[in-house]
Amino acid sequence: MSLLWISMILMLFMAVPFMVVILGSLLMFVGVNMPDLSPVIFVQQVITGLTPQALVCVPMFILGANIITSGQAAKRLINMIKAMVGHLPGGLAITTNASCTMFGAVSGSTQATVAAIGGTMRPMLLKAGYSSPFTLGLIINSSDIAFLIPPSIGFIVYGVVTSTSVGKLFLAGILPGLLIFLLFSIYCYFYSKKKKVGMLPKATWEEKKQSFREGYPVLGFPLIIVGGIYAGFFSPTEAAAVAVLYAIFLEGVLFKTLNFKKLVSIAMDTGVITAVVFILVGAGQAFSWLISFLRLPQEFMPLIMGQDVTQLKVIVVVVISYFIACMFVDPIVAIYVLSPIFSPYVASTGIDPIFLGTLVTLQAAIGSATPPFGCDIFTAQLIFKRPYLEVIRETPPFILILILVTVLIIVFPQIATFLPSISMAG
Amino acid sequence: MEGENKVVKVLNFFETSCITFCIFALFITLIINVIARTFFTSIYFAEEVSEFLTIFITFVGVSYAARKGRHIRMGALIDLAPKSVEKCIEYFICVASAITMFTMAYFSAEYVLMVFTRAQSSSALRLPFWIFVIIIPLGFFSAGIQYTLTIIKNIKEKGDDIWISPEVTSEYSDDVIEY
Repeated sequence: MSLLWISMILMLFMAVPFMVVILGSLLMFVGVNMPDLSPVIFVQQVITGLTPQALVCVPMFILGANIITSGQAAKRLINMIKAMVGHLPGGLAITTNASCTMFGAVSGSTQATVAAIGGTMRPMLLKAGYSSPFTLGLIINSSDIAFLIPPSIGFIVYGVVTSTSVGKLFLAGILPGLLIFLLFSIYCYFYSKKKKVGMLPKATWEEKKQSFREGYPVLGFPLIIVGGIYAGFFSPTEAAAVAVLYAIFLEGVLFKTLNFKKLVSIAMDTGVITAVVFILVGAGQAFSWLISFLRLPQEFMPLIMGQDVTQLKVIVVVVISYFIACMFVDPIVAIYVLSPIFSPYVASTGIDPIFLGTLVTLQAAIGSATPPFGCDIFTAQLIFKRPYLEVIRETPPFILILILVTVLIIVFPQIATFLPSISMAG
Repeated sequence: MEGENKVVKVLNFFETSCITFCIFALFITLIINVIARTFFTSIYFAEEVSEFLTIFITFVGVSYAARKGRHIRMGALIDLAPKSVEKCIEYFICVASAITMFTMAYFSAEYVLMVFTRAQSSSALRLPFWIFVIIIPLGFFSAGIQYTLTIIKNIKEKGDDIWISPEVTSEYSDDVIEY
């Protein structure tokens, strides 16, 4: 068994593509330890991993987000929010938070949000006098909120792996997402007050009206995705398809930034991102099959959990494991590898899978912005061309807030479970 | 070289048009199904079509992403390494990836053959199931070829560039440009 883990960790640190890390280790392990088992089973598992209906919404959400990112929606959204809150202390920083939260309702990944919102906000923030490390810390951490606000690839994959309703998971992410937004904004408010930066002149009533008129169509996305799923009107997949239709209408007809040629190249890019994500999903499924087949949870989980297993103990172990795992690998890989290990305990202690899914997705979001290896850090490096240390210098306060939110959700599970419990989602 | 370029062009055309077409087809299938479900009844084969498209996009994309160096990996540590070490590691990555891809291609071909000889058919449209999965060995095989080409590229090209795919050099190499 140790052969499997050692080869995986070695390959991981040597920057071998994740799909090869998983599939290669699996093939090697079976070749050495279980020569009687035909690896054809892995091919079958890859297909099993790819075919759940709930996954079909992933390419659609990516397509919708790509269309929106290519056009004017992000800019209009930012202008609208800036006109409302820009004059407050920390107004621009709060605008960044709010835009990421709202943009999260279109985009399912943190990296897309770093690119779309960060690209526009960072020059404005710098001009207003915020330090460069603060702007970077702010951008990569507020993009985390997008991972909790539906649609979110984390929720989709978690829902598929653990057979939990994706619609309900989506709804469960909303309040924690808003809570993070609130706490981040409070931090930005006091930070800006203390450092005396970033007050904009108050927008006039005319300016407010104008920016609202330009920006309000973007609010259609939360209406379709959150509203549609909440009311039980759409399944997540249907909501995704309708959101794409709306995105095409918005950028093509209303804002006139989209033409057919552009749409074709966006579709191409969407396909590649989908493939890169889905091959991990397939490989992850093969891996989690092997974990269950070898009965690993039964073997070494008792060592970690000890004799008396309580709900709280399981929750803490799960949260810490995901937190660490997501600092190193893509959340999708983490979910596939870890959830079969924990699932017997989650089931036997009767933990609400929706509540746990919210915590897991939150950890994935935190991990993706946490040094040393959070992927958002590298995205920010790539987009803004700043050195690594500068990107991470101001991240600790944000990460502390995110950890605080984790604790709050563990203490008050209703933050996650309230909305799904009163919704009509299936 | 001429012939090689032509092959790459044809492959590129096939891959891009396949992926683009499948994404549009998926979108249209889902939208039509939403309309059909709202006003009439769900289309009975919509699920199967989307399953087929998903598999197709994934495995055509696996090869395309290998060619463009788009597969997700954690490049943080080897970026810190000196260029010569990085190049050595890149050889290792390509060899490991190529072997893995070719092995997966072999076993998926075995799987497709199994499906074919058992004459399995899909549940809704009653189509032969091998049509759904034939792309899997092809995708893995083509990805294996891409990693092999990357090795050749790294040997052939002198100079500092490290190729992570036949067409793309090391991703973070321009990071220190001032803003």
